[in-house]
Amino acid sequence: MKPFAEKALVLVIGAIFLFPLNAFAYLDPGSGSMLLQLILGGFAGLVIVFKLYWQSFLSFFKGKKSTDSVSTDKKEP
Amino acid sequence: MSSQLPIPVPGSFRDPSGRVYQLENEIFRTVSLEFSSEFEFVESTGFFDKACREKLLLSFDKVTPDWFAAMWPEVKYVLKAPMLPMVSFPYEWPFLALKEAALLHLKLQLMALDFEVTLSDASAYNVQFQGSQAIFIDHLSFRQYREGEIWVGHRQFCEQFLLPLLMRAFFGITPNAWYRGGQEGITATDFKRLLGWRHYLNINVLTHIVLPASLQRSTLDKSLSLEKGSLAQAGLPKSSFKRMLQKLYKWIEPLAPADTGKTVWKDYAHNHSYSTEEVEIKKQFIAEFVREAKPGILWDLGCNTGDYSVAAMEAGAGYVVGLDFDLGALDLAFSRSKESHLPFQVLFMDAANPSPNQGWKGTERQSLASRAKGNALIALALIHHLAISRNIPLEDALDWLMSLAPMGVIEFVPKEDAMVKKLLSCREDIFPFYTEESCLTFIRSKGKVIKTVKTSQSGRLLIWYSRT
Repeated sequence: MKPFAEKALVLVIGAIFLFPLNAFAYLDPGSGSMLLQLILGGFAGLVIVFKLYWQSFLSFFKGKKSTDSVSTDKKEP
Repeated sequence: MSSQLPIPVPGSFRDPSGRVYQLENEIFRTVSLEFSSEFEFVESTGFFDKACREKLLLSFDKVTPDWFAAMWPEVKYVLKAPMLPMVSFPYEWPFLALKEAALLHLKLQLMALDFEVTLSDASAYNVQFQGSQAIFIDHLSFRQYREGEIWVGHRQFCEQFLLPLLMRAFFGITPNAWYRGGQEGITATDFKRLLGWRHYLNINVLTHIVLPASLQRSTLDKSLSLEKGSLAQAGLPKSSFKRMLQKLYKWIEPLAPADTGKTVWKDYAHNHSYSTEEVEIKKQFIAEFVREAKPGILWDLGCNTGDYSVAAMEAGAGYVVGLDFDLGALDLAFSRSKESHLPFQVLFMDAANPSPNQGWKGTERQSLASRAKGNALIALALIHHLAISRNIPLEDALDWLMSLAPMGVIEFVPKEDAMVKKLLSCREDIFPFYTEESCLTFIRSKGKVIKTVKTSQSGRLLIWYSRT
């Protein structure tokens, strides 16, 4: 996978962990499956991927790390 | 009040919304105060009624046993469900049984969505069998569906149902040993490594295996940072959720094992060394035994495609659990059970390596022997495979068989028989004690020989034993 795209996807994963999409689950759905379903979910999910990609793209050229706001180091178990 | 207290069932600890207990021959599932509003919601939708009526979900009664308030103050409800004749685990299921369970799970999830209900996980261990009928047993897996939420169980469904099925359907590899070893199924990451280029042309493979595995991989070992942004607008609309389930259903339904050639035993019924007359003698003896023993549950060890299981059921056996190590034969036995709606459940078992106690603390999944509730057993044409193919001392093999049921029929296959000759044809005969006499002497030392019958010219002997 291309570095930009990968970075964007990673950011989406971060967002998913922050957003309580699965607040009622006791099962870890897995980031791969979550992201897949956001993409299958349609336009809104794709827009987010694009926005994050764009944010990551700009950050890359501005030479900044995209750590302006919330951060997490949550990893897959 | 009952003199005994309910005992927690091992393996029910993962879900904090309730636990399962056994008291004598009844199963009780508690619903915690914390989870009760979810349970009440699902109940109010009428989903439980429909799913139970259609026999997709194990029926239950809400009860208030007099001992429960004192014992479980944190419990709001107690559900009583019937005991199943034989609890089994996905690594013991032949292909067709696992497929049946997968389709049941998808059907239930689809039905649930119509009631604004969803499943909180996709564990294959929540499915059990009554004959060949898959049935969902965990009433607390259901909760309210929230518009836009994803299918939380997708990854687990793929690991525990889809990928083990594809292992056999794509590559002809039986997944049972792998499944038993890892307990949780097969991960997309592992499975992806097995795929060839032509598999990448399949959109379902890309969607459910390649893409999730790649995305999962890309998220490992990364520190993440982000503004929350407009994620609230994202999610999986219900229509997409349903479409995903329907597509999976359509993909799984026609799957068949790739190894459709001969397996060891499924051709046995036609190619073995018996004459029809011998088969008839065997069937008559089994029928006589069953009529006398009247077993509620009979175990047929080495059941092959189920000929003698069927003979036993025709003679009045209430429920037959057929065990065999040939998965091809078991699929035929499963189809037979399904087509005729027989009380006949088939499970994969290598008698020389039966399912052990395993999982958390070594108690989560019980061994085959500790689940043995059979009132009787038949073990035809099995003993020579244990004693000669696997070098298990004859007495040990007989002792194990007799420990599984208080009475039964064991077939002794002598060295003069063609099948044993074949087993010994390429190896030294190191079995001087493998004789009919030793067999009978041992059985008599552990119980009684009620009756015997010779079934072949070669000297095969059916031995009806009783431990008391």
